[in-house]
Amino acid sequence: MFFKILSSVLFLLLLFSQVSYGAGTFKIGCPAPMTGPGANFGEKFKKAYTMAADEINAKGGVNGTKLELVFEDTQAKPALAVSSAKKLISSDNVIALLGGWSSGVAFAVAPVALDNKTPYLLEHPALDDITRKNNDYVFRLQPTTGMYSAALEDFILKVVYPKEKKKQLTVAYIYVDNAFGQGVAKYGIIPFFKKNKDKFNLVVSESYNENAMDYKPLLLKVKNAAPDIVVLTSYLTDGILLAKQIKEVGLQAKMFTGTGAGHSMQDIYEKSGKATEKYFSSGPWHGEIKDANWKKWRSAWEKKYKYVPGEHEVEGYVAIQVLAEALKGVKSSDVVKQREELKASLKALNMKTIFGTVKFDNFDGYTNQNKAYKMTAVAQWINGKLLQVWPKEAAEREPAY
Amino acid sequence: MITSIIINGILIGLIYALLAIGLTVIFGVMRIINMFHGEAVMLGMYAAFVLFDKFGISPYISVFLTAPIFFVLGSIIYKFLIDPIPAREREITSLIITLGISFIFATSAMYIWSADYRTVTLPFSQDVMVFIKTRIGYPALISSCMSAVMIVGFYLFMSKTYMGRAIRATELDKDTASVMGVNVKWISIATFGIGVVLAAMAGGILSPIFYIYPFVGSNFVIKAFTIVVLGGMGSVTGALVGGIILGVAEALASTFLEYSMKDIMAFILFLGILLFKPSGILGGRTRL
Repeated sequence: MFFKILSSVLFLLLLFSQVSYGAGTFKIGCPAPMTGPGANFGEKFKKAYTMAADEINAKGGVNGTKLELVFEDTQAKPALAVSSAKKLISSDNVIALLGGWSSGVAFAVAPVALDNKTPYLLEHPALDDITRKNNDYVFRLQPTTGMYSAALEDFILKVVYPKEKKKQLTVAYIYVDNAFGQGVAKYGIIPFFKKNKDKFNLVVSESYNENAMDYKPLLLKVKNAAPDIVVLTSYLTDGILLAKQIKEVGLQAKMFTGTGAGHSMQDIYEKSGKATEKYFSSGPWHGEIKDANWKKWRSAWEKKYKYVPGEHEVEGYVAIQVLAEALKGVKSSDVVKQREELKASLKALNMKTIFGTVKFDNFDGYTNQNKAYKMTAVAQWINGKLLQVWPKEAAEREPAY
Repeated sequence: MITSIIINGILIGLIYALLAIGLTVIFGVMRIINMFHGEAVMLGMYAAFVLFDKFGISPYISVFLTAPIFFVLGSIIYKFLIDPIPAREREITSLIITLGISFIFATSAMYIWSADYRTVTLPFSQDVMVFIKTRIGYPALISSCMSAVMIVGFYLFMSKTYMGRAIRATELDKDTASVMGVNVKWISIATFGIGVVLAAMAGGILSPIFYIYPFVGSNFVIKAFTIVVLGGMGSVTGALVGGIILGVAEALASTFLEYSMKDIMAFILFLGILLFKPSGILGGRTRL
């Protein structure tokens, strides 16, 4: 009898402590790849979220309520991400979901957010289709895969094409065969070159497996086609191998460019033995680099984490700020009502951030998508630094072309 | 271009073969599907990376220095985790245990070295030689040649030494080998150790031409299994032939069809062998 009473008391105490703890914070669910091949990216986003949340909490939180980040490891596997998202919503009672890093994961998690009426804010998963499904609970602050190449297209048309003085430039495009690569290919790169076929001839357009050990047969095929421009859509490990093997097979072109992702990470330069020197990379920009707040954030980041942040870090940092701003409109204590209030608040948001203005709109088949065309830039690897070179207003230096 | 493609296919095929040999030997002798194989390759890569990074020792030398450590590691795993399993349950239980061990090592590697990607960049990493109009990077060439030498060396070890013959005898018939004076238990322990050493050496040799991260092992396991089935389970020569066939077939498929057909070609070969010659290309013909 004594043990029954004791266990009941302990159970109630435990339950009470859970409820009181949960009620005291705004819980944000972060399904992220903390192990597995995407762990490198998961760590970046964890750092970015934590930095922003710590800053907000140090100032007293949102309306006196602190933010609490709840991480779940997805290993970048969509099936695991779905169960993580369900657990975060139903067991951890998070008010919103955030991120997920990869398009494949976000594409799988988005319906879970809809089914459970929980806002899901994307800061990096870029596949266009995710915000083209009339899913009113999904919000995306950064450019989609179709928008990734906006600055690159402008750069090629205004700088590369006129300079080469050829009637038609040949282009080879190789891209990773996953949701991200397919998205950039389908919505960005291939339509652009096909639309401008009087100026460009797409001589090779092929996808590849991310985990392959040997890309030389593909690169020999590209070399045989003698392209003027080589465009690569890659993650990190495949990007490193491709850069090394491009050197090995002696593939030469007037311009090599990546489309963000792996090509915008410091590791690609260092781990490829500097093989990406002079490579361009087009994707989400690094933020409003001329803004004093951006400069302040970047120096704080370098001081805290001892490396130069790129697109992933600024996106993660701003995502927490966006959620915090929207959470100001949450007044209820019941989490179900809180989620609805947060959704309404996100829809009404118009916020200037260090990544650019964030406003979620419905347009051209997109739902709750930030018109982030302007938030793209072409950067270039020069002496180990990835600096923005286009458009001119966002340029940190002249392009070496 | 076709010459270059075939030469490159053979070179990568030799590395595939080395990746598969440790797996095929363990399976051949003990009928154990060693899921730890990929993580042994990963540990070999990290060992090569650390010795290169801290002491400047070339991976092509350090693979020999670290071999005894991996032999001891493999032997301990077998002695304390696999050997106690009753014989009738060994095939399935050992698969689950080695899978568990692989998770432990991959996760531990992440805590020790973090999720960052590492590479071994040798002073000549970007140097290239031209052979029959084919550009071959020195690291790729050395890795492939070392793979070939090690495969031949291992073949000689298995065919010419007492230990090698004892392993083959155990593979053929444990009871008879035991009657003939072979200590089957110790041969099993040693074979598992050798299998782990071969996987780790393959990792070390791969390190200058691949990237390293804690979960890299999973990239190699499927490839190694495909080759083991192609060449014949337990056959060293089969692994060599299987590796080269796979390397060349992938290279040709990705050139003349689409690059994405490369993996489909591997599975077509895999299914074809399972359907028409389940014992593998050399499985029924030779035990070595």
